[in-house]
Amino acid sequence: MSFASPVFFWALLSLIPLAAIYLLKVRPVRKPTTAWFLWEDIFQEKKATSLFQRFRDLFSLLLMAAAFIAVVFAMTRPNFSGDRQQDLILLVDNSASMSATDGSNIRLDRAKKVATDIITALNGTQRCSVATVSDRVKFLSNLTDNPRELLLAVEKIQPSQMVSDIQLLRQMQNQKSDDDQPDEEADADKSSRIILISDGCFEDKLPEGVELLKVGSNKKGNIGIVACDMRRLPGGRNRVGVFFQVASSFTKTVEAELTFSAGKPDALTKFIPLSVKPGLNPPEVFELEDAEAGKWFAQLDVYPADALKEDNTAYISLPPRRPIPISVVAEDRYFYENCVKAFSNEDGLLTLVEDPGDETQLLIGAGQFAVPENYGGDLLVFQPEGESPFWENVGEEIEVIGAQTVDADHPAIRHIDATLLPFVGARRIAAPAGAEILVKADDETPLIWRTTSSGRSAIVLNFDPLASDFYFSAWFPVVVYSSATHLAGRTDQLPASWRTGQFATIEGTDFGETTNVTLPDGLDVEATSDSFGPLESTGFYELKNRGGDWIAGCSLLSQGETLTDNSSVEESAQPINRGSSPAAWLTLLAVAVLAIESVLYQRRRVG
Amino acid sequence: MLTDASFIRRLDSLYLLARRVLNGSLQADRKSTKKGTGITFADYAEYHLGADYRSIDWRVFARFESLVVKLFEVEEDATIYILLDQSRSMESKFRYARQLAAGLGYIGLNCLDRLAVYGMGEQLNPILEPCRGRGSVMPLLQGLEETETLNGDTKFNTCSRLFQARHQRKSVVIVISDFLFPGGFDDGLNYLSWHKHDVYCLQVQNEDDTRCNLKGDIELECVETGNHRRVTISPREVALYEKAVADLNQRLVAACARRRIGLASTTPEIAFDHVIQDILRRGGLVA
Repeated sequence: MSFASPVFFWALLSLIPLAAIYLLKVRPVRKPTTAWFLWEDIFQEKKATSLFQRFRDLFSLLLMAAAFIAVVFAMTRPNFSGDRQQDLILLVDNSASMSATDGSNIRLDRAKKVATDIITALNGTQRCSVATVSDRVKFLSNLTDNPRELLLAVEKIQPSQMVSDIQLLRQMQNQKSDDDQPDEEADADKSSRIILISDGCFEDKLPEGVELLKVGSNKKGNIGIVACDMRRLPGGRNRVGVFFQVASSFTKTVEAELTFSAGKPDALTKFIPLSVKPGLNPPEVFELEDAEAGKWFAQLDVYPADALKEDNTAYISLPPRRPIPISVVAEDRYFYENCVKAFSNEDGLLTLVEDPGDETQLLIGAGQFAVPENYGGDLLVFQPEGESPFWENVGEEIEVIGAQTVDADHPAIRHIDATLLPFVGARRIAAPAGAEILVKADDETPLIWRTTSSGRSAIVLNFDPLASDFYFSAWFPVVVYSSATHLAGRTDQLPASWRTGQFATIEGTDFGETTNVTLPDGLDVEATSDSFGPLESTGFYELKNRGGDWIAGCSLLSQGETLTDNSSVEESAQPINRGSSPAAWLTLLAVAVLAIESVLYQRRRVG
Repeated sequence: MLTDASFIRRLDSLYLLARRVLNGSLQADRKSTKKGTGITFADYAEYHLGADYRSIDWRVFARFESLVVKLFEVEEDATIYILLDQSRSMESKFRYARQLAAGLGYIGLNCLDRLAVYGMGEQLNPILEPCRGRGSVMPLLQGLEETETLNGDTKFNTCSRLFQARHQRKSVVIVISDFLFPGGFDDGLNYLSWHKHDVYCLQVQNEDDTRCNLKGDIELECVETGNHRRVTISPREVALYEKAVADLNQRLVAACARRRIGLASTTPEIAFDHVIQDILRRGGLVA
């Protein structure tokens, strides 16, 4: 037991004069009576209580002293639990699993109650800070000993649909360790204490130094979709493959129904009865013919309702086929056109346009070629010659003995080994200032680079593909395809449904260009990056930019959040006071004792 | 001051009122069964040797030739005894009680009655020895003025016996007291009425006697004996006390009625001369 303000014990000395004053005050006043003999008759029958009456004043004095001592103890702010007087950082997990219900309340409400109890127990004697943890740590209050501010911060905590990222706590713990270096207060007892109030439903191990206060139980099981994807398949214009995986925290196999709906939730397209076993179930795939592009809903129905509803729906976006229109301007255009046609037949991502015009998005040129005047799109250039804003100082042919990859992970070349390309017919040349060199010769001559001029981008490959027999290389179509999709801003095939907390890639635009985004709740925002996020709500995000209209689906899709069974999670928190502080209880005791004394006093005064 | 001129003037006016209201019935010329030398003819008696020859009715002798003497009623003066409670319980009412005693004694002396005043405590204390006539008014008032309350219980029964031992003649006895006697009042009243006294009780109680204004923890002290004890007065005790006082007064009323004793109860709030006037209007100090 320790006391925050032991100096108040000196106040106990005032018990002596207070007792003296009390004894003087309670001395009864002598009242004369003219009919003593009548009073004697009346009080004869009350002799039985005379012993109590004799000691009543003493009893009252003891009560008053007890109340006074209780108040003094309350003023010293005792700590009976052995809780060290450290600064506290209360982290309240508000990830999606904290929205699971065990009964009437969601886990987050219980966590807030625990946080409130702890703050109440602090009674202004310790500094504390309140933060939420999900995919990020968000501090809602400063480090303060003001209970009102802390309680207000707890009150502000709202559930989120984000996935827990416990790694953040490790970073914070490391940061705290740095801050606790012994410059200011070397005393280790003064270091702050991190307490995480959570259901423990996260996949990573809790970092050392973070204490867990567990809330919630697995009274009500949960089933959810933990993975879901929808991709177009070769062999048909609207043939798609669907992948999904469910997980269950029930202790036995539960029957459920999974439905896939296109366009709106009740437009049933596929019905799949499921027998969901406890834990993570094996993934399943199926194919759909004539799948419409647009919004898809995967909905899991469980009877009776499970603990968490956020993971019962996956919002899937199936983008329409948008082939990149490509024109070829080259002497040996045959190879290029067939290359584009090949990709046009496979997945329809590239399509050949005979005459470059407004609709052409990419122009492939080789050697001496003239860019049509009405063309304002991007360029993929082989064997650069002549004058162009995309290269400078074309000189003599050089022999490339060795090539160096400057950016091997660049989307245009990441699927090939660029150092092994036959750079035959390469010329001494210079890339414009600001160009992004991807491959260069040993003598620093750029061999492949990406550059931008007047709003147009170009990837330039400094070699003769005909002389080097590059047309017959397996890497030729790879380079064409990678460069085309990169320049068109469609490098990666995006997921059909993003996870909450992720940044969704924005297609059809470059960094710095504006994309209008309509959030699932209907709010409109703008994004100027090539990605948007973090995605905080499940649902569909509608994006609009110069490249067209796009839809991004966002779902929970988290095994850690879906498996809400936390029965195996053990609390690691050291003892900590909760609820009303000992000082508050002592004050309450003093009030109760004073109430009893007031009754006795009232009896003494009015009988 | 009982000897103040203003107070005496109030007594005078009271006496005048008494004469008008009672038409002299309070005068000392009270009828007696004794025959003697009065002025009121009572009977004839045969003359015997030694009888007062001046009483012989010569007219009867002239007609019947027998000597008879005329007998007259003896006119005796009444004796009024005032017994004034002198205990500490009368402290708050003592001046009022003395005023009542002074008023009644003044009227008695002016009616040529014999008057004696005694104080009652643990024993009988003479305040005014038996006297007669208006000349005794000042000694009466001075005696009452100098009288104070005494320590100890009022032993009414003892005082009654002492009084009877001193004054065996039938007389008018006026008891002025609060009648809060620890030993009771029955024996005393019995004793006085047994000896054919015309007893009249004048009960003086104030609100402190009949009501209980005490509450809570107090140290109750007997004003007469100084005994004290710590008690807690609750509403229950208050009710019990007031009931006990009411019962006591009721017993007094019953005891007086049973013995044909006159009783008047008053409080110091009522002027003493109003009380006496009321007594006179109701026919004097008889039941």
